[in-house]
Amino acid sequence: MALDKVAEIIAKTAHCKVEDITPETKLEALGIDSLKAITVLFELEEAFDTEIPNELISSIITVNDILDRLGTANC
Amino acid sequence: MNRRVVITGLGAVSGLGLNATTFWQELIAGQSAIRPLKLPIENIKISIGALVPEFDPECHFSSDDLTLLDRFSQLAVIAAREAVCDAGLCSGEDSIRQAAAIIGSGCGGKHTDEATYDRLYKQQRSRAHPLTIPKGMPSAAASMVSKHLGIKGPTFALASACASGSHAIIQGCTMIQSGMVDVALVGASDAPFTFGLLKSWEALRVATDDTCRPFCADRSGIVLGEGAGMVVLESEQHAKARSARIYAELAGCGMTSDAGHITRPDITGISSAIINALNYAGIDPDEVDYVNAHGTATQANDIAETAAINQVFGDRAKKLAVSSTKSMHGHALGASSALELIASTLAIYHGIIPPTANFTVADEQCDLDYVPNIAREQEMDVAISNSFAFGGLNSVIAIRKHS
Repeated sequence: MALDKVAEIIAKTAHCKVEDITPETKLEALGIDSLKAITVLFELEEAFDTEIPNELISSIITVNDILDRLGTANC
Repeated sequence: MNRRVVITGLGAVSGLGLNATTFWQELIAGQSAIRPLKLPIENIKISIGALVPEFDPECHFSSDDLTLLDRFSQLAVIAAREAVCDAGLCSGEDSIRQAAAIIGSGCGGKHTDEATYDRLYKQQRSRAHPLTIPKGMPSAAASMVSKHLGIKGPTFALASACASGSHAIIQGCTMIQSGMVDVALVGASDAPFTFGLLKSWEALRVATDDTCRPFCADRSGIVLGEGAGMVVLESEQHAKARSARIYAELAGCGMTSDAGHITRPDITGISSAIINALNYAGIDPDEVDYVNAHGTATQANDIAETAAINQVFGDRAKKLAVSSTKSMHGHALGASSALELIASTLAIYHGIIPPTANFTVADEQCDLDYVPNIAREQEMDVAISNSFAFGGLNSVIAIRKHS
């Protein structure tokens, strides 16, 4: 499932448990600042072999926003 | 000189160990850290080096911190922590918060840069790691030292190849003398054991597979090392006010540039730097007891450095003790010059001259007392530390026993 993979990537950078991450979780609440966010995006692009354009970054607030951008919200 | 500057804290990470105590014990025991390389790198001819032994970054930093710490920054921060602690200072107190941090490097964050180049050029991947810039930039170690120690005063990096540490220390000294700061954490860090750098040093044909034998007839070149040397400098007034232990006075400094050949040392450039350091300090050549030589063990350096010492000191040259500690900690590029100032400082403080290790027979053009293989107990008043970088950048620091 895409959520599992995304959660795994976020948890690695945020140093939190995968179980703590839900679609509604806000990245900021996990301590993901701008520098950590670009690391997460890099890992996501690598894992999903996709591109997340810079102009979409400011609209990514929650994990669900990431799933939307990846086009995998319903996976 | 406007204000006297003293050395109150030392931190040393090198092939000889993770702290200045081990560094000094190994130096005076004449122990060399040069070992066969066991790196996961293929197709390199350089086969020996002086790597920091048993170094596990996770014992020193959180995994979160490590995402931003190139190896050269890791070594810098560890040495900086030791130097500050050794000076009896703590991060968070005003002396450190207001201090300067000038951190030199000969090669910067090469581990980071090369990992990214490997991804892009060799693996043909399309993305660089997003932290490549902040982690690999030449000033990364300065920023990380500032962050980890809580230093908020003037902070920047300085590069002059193998003299980077010496120039950084001089920069800190002059900032204290000017009254800009009371305390400066200064030194350099280098971690050059990467594929690209090893191949580049290999191409220069100055690295040996034997060992580092400065000033010897059978010397055959440099041996690379890695490490970081950090020094806490203070105005004497500041140090005395807090009853700090004073290792030595940083009495003077001399800097010159050859404005000539990019790699061949220039006797006049070297001798002028030594003379400038002595003049700055108001020290007569006859007062000097010990020279911690640049002593790389290349054919060119050791002859030129010996000639320059003879030129400056005349009859006194034969009475000087001259040793190259690179024979033990290897040539850790910019970090070497800081490590060597630490060796010189401890030599003055303890009254022991570290030897030139791996010494066989002196080159016929190298006619000084190189303190072969065995340390020597000798009370000293004045020592100088020589550093001469590729590009013709010469830097000499004179230190004096504090009284």
